[in-house]
Amino acid sequence: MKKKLLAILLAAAMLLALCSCAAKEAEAPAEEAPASEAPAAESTGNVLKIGALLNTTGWFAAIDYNNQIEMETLCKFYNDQGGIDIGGTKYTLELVVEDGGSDAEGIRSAAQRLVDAGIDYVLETNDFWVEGAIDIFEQAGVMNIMAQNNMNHGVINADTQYSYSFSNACTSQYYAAMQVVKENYPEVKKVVYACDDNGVNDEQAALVKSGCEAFGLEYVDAPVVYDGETTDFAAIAMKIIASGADCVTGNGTPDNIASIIKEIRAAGSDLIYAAPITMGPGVFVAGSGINDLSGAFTFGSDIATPENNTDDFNTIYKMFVEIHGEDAATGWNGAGLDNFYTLLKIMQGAGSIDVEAVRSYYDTMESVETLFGTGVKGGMETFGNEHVITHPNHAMKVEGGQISYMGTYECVCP
Amino acid sequence: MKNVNVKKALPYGILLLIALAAPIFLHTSYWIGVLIMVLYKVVGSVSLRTISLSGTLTFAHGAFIAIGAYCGGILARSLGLPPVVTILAGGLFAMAISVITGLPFVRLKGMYYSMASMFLGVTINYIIKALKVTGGYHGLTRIPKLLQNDIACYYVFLALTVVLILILYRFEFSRIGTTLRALAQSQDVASSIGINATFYRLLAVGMGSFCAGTIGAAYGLYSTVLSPTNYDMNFSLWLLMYMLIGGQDYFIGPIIGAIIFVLIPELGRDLSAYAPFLTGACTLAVAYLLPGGIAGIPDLIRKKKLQKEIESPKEGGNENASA
Amino acid sequence: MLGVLLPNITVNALVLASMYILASLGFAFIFNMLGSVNLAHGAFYMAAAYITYYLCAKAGLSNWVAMLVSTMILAGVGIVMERFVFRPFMTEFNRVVMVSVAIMTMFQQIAVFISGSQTIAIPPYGSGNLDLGFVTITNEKIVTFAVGIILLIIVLIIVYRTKLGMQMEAISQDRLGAALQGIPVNRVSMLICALGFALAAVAGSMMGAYQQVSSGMGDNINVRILMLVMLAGAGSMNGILITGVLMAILDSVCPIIWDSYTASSIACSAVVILLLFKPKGFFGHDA
Repeated sequence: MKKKLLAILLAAAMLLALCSCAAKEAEAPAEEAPASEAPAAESTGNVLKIGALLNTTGWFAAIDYNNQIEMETLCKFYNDQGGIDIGGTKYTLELVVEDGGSDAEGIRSAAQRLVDAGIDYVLETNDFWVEGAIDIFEQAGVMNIMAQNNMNHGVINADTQYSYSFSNACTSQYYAAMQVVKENYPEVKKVVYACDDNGVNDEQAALVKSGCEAFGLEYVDAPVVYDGETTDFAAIAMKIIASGADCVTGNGTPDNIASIIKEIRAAGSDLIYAAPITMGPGVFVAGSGINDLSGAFTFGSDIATPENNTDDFNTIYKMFVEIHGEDAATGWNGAGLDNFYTLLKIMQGAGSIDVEAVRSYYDTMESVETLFGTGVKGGMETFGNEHVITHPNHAMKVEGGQISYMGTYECVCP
Repeated sequence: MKNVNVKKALPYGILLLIALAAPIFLHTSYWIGVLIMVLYKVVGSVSLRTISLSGTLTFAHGAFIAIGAYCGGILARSLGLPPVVTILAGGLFAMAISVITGLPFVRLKGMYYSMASMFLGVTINYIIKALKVTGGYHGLTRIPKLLQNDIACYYVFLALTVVLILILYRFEFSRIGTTLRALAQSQDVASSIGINATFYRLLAVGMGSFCAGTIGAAYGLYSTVLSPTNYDMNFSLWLLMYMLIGGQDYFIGPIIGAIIFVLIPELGRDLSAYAPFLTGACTLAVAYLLPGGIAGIPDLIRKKKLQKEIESPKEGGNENASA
Repeated sequence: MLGVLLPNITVNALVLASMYILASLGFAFIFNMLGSVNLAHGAFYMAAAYITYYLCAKAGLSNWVAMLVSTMILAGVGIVMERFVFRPFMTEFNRVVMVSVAIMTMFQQIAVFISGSQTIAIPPYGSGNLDLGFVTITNEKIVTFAVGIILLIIVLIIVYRTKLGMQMEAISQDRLGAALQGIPVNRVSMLICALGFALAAVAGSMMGAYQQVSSGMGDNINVRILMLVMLAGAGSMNGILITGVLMAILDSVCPIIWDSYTASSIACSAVVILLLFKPKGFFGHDA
């Protein structure tokens, strides 16, 4: 009996220790929440609830965590001004975050919760599983805005009335990436595509191929597709090197790409990594542990030169760094944030928060101010309707561990 | 005699009544989804128990649910077959695969079977992620929905659950069930009186996997999306845990376990990050305090009472040694 | 192209093999001596990586010191686990499964809390490259491999050349018999558990730098550990060395030939098929 008692006591003690440890760790994110909610409580009642369908758990959380804190910063940006002015009324913004848990079923259940909560606008993560939740939003008449990658599934088509995408599409980013390679890395002759297994690898590889053809590069037809949850990248790097290409392009989580770069360099190769992601190349330096990293670029924002950015961007970014610190800024993403910002601009243009009014304004407008400059509508050829907005990209490279701006590249979605 | 049956049926009756009435209180589509999830895991766990009757735990059950779900989903999506056909086909396909793969493995005993089944489960999960027809890692989407109305969906699911549980109940309390329990006691003794151990264990594997595949296929038709990450080793492990925590020796055990442990994370969504600690704590508590699981509590109390009655006349005894 | 690939693949496989073997020795010890299947072994491996990371990043220790501290902590945890989980539940497979899954779940959630969602990495144990002409090897790989090999040799000496090792062998063959011979059964199993957990901690801390520190790293290694111990068979030390190398070769070669999950499924299928022929492992005795 004594033995048993001891065992119980120990189990209890272990649990307590674990929980307290966990509670301590959880404090950090808990502190951030009131920042965006406090002003909402003070307001006179005009609250605009915007849903955010993100993966705060699971492997995709590496990207969506930043999306979330950036969106919260945007809420604070407007709420500090006393709310956003839409059609003469001031609204306090409230972000309702639901976790999709990085898989299709979790996303669907999270979408259901958002619809049940009576939310009219939902901003989605830039992962690949949103496809499974679209019919919920279409049925409920909820305007939902995806970030970049979902484009290639044909998720948006002539039948989807409420689905939009305001951040740059892969369609345009792969094309732009090849342009950057051609103009900035003259030594590159052959390009290979490498990406985690996302269900649209064939489509993306085709985009890379057409980009290569357009800019006179040779496309190596040996796409490298890897398991997104793996931790062993040595073999993947070997495969990339074995393809004989001198440039590799592809999406992926920044830590996976960083690990691949690390292994490529470890094997003594200096091929260029063209990553059409919206984070700055600083994530690669941090993730690979190579302090003098060279030969990689992304479509992150040129944070160092405020003149290259819109005023709102600079203000929001400054605010973000004040709240979350310089460390968090290496993971600056901007895609989800841009979706949010553009949506609000369109609502302001429509002068209403009614979904139908906003949609009919969208159909009539020509262009809209995004966080990264003037955005244009597109997508008729690819998707069958013009529910896509693209904006100019900054190409940012890393050489010798230093991040620098290479130029701005237009993105269009045919 | 009749009294005993009523007493036995009472907990099931209460559970059924609660299940029938639940949508009155929890009618949002999200909560209906949670309720369906409960039913789905109840069947998953009860059918796992059927396989475990012969004394070996399986770690591949989630994979067979996945096989049923994917088979049903693919048939419904690409061939447009009616739900009845796809659900049955899912069950039968899962059964076929489990019997084929089980054939070499059921000869293994105890832990070795469990480990082999774990690798099998992991491999099946990887194969699902690798194949094109299953949608790969990205998952299978746009499966036609069973019924547009969620509450109707729930009642269809409930009916299916009741049927499957009745089948498994009949199976367990038939001659086959008795034989399986004899195998669990001692395979050598059972073999010596002419019981074909491999055949009976294969029968249990097939039966359990059929029910698992069936409920999996039905769930696929409800959720309309299937994601292979949901059918990984942890899924199988937790189905097993529902059974162990609920009480392996009781038919109602896995039902109780599944209900409690599916509902815990849902009760406080804001605290869902802490749910693993709650489930972990409950598991540890059961492992150390309740050897028979939650369903074993009444028996445990009865046993304690009996022990007290026996011991009260004369103090002392050997009970310390047994503890 | 093969001339570039082959040396690199060999290096990668050797580094992986040394770490796989190191991580799985503890599991094998517990499995052999106490008959317990510690499904949480991967979770402890992950915990060690997190502790090391935490001590490096937050407490500012050098990574070697951090690794040493985390190894000691894990050795302590090993003693506790032996006393309160493996020994009392020696004959009860079910309850060991329950406890280890509970621990696994909680550890994983703590890991999610700590890493939040950001990429975290232990600073590398070595920097720079070694150019051999036909192949460049990073010093990190050399250090990782060297640590693995040195520890392996030490463990082999302990197992085959010391009293403790022989006592362990006696216990895994017949616990009761060993106790009757006057071997302090409980003390030996406690020591061996501490050793096993410490080795897993070293592997976790090294791999946390060589690869990534993530809440999924425990799951990945867990399957590997189980596979290579089962393939080797109960009670076989040499078997683990062979299957460890085999597993590492599968992991370094398959992803080059096939795409993503096809590679993983082929590697796993190979193991399952091998198990079909020898369900109780290739090198073990019939326990």
